[in-house]
Amino acid sequence: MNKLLKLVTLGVLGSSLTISAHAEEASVKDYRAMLEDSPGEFWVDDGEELFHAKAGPKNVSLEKCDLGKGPGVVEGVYAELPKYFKDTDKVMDLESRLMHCMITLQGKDKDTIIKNAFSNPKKGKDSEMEKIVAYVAAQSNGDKFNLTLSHPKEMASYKTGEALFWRRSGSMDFSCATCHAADGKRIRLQTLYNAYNDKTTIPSWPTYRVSKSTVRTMQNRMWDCHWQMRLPDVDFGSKATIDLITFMTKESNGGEIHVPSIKR
Amino acid sequence: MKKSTVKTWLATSTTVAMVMLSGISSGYATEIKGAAFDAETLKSAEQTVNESWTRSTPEERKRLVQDYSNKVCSAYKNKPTPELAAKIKQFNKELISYPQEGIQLGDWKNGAKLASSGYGMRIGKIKPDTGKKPNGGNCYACHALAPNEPAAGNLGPSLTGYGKRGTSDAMVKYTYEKIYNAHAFYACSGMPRFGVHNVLTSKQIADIMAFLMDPKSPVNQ
Repeated sequence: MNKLLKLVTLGVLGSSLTISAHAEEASVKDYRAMLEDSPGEFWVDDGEELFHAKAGPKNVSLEKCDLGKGPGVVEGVYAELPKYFKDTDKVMDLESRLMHCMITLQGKDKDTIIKNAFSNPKKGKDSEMEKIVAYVAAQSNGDKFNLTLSHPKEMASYKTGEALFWRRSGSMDFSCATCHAADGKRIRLQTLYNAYNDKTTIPSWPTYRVSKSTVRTMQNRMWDCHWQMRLPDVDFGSKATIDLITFMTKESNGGEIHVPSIKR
Repeated sequence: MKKSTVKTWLATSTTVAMVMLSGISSGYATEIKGAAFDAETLKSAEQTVNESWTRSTPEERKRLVQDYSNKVCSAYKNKPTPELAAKIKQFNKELISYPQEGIQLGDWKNGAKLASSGYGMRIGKIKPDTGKKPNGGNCYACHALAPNEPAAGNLGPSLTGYGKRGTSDAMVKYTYEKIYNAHAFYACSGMPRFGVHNVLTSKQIADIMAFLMDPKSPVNQ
């Protein structure tokens, strides 16, 4: 009940964010400070249950899923993702790796996983992926991102990710770098993260989005930015998304993970 | 960053660009030295694009194809050599077309609406724009304009008081061309090429020009 009251307060505060960039930053800080926990904690709790629950045609849990530190280990894995996995011979982020486990261990259908990857609270559509991601990522809270790029494919992912970050196309001629490669920039009043000089933003995802009433993940952020750039829907868990996430996460190395955070 | 020579890469991409943009001479396929990314990385990025939008339609995927200008700007992180910057500007000048009725200022009140609206051109299955409203110019996302609108971005320079720079025919023509294709003046500008991509019609550009230049517009109060 206490948490519900906080959520209501959060909504009211969230809708009154106007006036100036400074005021917005101040009020976001205020309501962050007001909360002991992010509303995203609900997603973490649900995600923990889902991770351990038997599911899919094979009726098994994700407890045998190797997220980088051996089957079933969730502590600290997010701090080292994306990373190279020998069994797939690919660099994978948390979400593409979870999808791989859901397909190979639980026998789930790839198209269905992708179709349901993003929740849509307005339409009452839930996402198990968002909950499991929130749970696993939160098991690295307090850890610092540490991508070593020790495997050649990890280094290639980083380099390709940076090239994609600067790759302009589409109706607006945008790339990620248009908005995210300099300090102190804003779209309207929204402050923009600079991929080259920010070690707090990436370690704050997944995050509870007040405006969306749900937890959003990095894969969702990759889709959202491409959508805003007027580009087609980038495939969930695709190489482009993974390479971009490798690039941005490596640039955030040393940043301490605190998830799910709260954002506008 | 590695210095590199990226010859075949640009030649190939220009062929694609020429299919997309008719009427462009073949003088833009050149050797590129000193790009921000090595040839292997640029090739990997193109392969990655090809395999990462498999659920989109061929029509949607056309937006991922780069023309000469975007290709060079991307490879140089928007800082091309002076020689390439000159080529990019020339390439973009050739893309500008003019309204038959001539360039004139439109309705600043409609221009003000267009400056505030970011609607339009979003595609895909998840949350596409329906096209029921006109596209916006979304000028406020990046520029300060009317002083009574504090919610202005700062990716572009402030345009408050723009009309005070003058309203001569030359200024009117320059403003039209700048909105139509900013990259004809500033190679690798961050500004979208609103005319080139048919985001804005020439009538809408005229309205935004009026918002910028009309003495009665709040931009100039």
